[in-house]
Amino acid sequence: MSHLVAVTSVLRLSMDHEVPAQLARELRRADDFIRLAVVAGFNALATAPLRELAPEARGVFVGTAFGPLETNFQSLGSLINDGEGQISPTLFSHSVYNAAAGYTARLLDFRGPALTVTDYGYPFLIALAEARLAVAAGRVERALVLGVEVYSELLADAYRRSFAGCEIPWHKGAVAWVLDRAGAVDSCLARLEAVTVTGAPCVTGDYLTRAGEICRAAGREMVPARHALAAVEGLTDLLKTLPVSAAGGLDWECSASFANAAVRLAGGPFKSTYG
Amino acid sequence: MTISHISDSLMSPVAITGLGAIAAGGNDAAELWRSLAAGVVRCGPVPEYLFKTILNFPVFAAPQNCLSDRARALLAETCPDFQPESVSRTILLAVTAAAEALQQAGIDATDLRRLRVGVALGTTVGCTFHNEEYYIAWRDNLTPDLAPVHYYLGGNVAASLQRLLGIRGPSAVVTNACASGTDAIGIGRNWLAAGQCDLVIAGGADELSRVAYNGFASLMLADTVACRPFSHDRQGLNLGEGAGVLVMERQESVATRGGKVLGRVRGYGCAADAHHPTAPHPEGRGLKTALAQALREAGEGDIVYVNAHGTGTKANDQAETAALAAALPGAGAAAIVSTKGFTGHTLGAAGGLEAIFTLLALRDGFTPGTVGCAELDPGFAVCPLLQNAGRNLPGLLGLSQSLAFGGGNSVLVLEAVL
Repeated sequence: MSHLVAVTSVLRLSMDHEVPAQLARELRRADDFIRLAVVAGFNALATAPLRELAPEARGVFVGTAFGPLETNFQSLGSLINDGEGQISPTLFSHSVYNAAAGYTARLLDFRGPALTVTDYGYPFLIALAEARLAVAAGRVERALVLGVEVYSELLADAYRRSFAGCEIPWHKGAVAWVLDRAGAVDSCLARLEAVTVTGAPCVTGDYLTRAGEICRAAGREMVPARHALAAVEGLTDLLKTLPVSAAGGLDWECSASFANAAVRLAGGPFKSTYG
Repeated sequence: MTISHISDSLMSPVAITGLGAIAAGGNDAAELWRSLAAGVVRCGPVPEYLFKTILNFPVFAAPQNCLSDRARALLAETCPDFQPESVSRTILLAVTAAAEALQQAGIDATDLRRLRVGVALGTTVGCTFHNEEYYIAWRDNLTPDLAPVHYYLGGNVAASLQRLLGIRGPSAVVTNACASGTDAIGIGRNWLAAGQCDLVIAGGADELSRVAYNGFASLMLADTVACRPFSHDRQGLNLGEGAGVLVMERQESVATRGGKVLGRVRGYGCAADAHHPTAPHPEGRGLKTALAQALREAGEGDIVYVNAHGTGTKANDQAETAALAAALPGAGAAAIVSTKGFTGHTLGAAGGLEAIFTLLALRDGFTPGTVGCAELDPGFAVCPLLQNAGRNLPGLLGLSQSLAFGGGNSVLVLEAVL
């Protein structure tokens, strides 16, 4: 027996966001990757149900395709320009993929699991699947799930040279979902019943072009914009606008040359055996 | 409030049926264990086949040719067109360890195609773009050949293993810095318990990289001689490289196919310090939470062995011993060791390698002491074993724990099955 899991808040964040005043000082030296994660998490929690939870009962789950790639290159540049042993300690520590999860945990006081996963296909959904299991198993009461991408100029140049004439399809941004144990909240956007992601072999360029990617939900097909966050941005929008409960549930699927993903959302009831 | 009731079905132990490893001290798990017991330390200057440096921080390098014959034989069946130079050294290390673990588990290429196989692997270096030639040329407004970009895009270690071994199932690359390998095993355990796959290949792999080497140097966390975890005069860590991989299955599946159970994952805990970007909480706040969670999942039993993170940095060893004293019942009686004086700090691979050492120690009923530690720091609240103080283990239950940049802490409770 496991707990039912509720989606209680979702949002998308782009680079034109404002940094909340209470976070500004702590984020002054942070890179875009960290800043997007922390602010997206902060804003998503602001619209989630108020719950008195121990910090240890709250976990952070981050999924990213390219991680802090720009900071990675700045770190490399620092090594090349400044010489051996002279990499900026701040740049180096921020170039580690889990820096955003660490900042988020620290600034939002989440002291349960802090997990970062990396995948070129559907990293947010892999993080979402781990978060769902953590809530279902009772390891955490609340999970903050973040998808963050910042890309880089080097990657953009590679894209332009690979696909002459094509506009860069991506933008820096983040997606945040809050999951709660369903029995502990009075209302939610939907119950999260299942998340599956199955990877498939592909040519590497498909990760940039998102070859063959099609999403299906509520009887409609949609080709998302060609970037790693696009499909889950679409799912996030759908969840905000579609009354899942009234619709009797929502099966969302996405297929591409590199992976297949599916998310099953349902309406009430929200109380479980342990609720 | 406390964390609510933990669901039994998602917490049930899973069986470990295969172990595979490669690091500076040996090319497979058995050789590594013999070398560790013999006190072999292969720590030296960075070999030229890795990268050139003017710095004098020694490392623990795996052999130049790190793709084993066993791995080549498996790949000949699963990916006949495979070219070793087409993938990163991190992937070669991972494949070598995975092939050994699969062979020990009795899983062949046909089984891999038939089963739903999950791949959860931790890495740090293995997910980054570190091609300096390409970066410099691009920065200088040249148009370098795009091959390094495609090499990077093909470098996801879990996706690569899926492709090379011809398997389908859930996959995740865990990038939780130095705790990545431990978390990957915990995630694999979760997949099996939730019925998402039939078998999991889990652990970690990392190659030595010039950027990480310089990064740790700039943070002043590296030692100029072989590291001395828990020692009163410790000065920092040495980086290493390698891979450590477990094959895990549900216990009933092993029984059905007549496989041999080597051990079990009894518990897993993961918690954030929420304290500092790079330094651990001085009292090991997150580690205490992770320990409590892993022990709660594991249920009854005395922990007789602890494979500590034990990097040899001042802050890590202090925080870790403080947390063990506070959160591990009977910590004074457990044999606490670090194996990083033998492997170096292999970053994303460390959790995988150390889980294997934990299981091998518990199965042997004996642990060597902490390589490099001749005299303990008197400020510790518990007493890890000195180098020459190997000890018999009076039980089958042990811990493997990892601490990470970003304040991550992860703990596995492992049980040997004889």
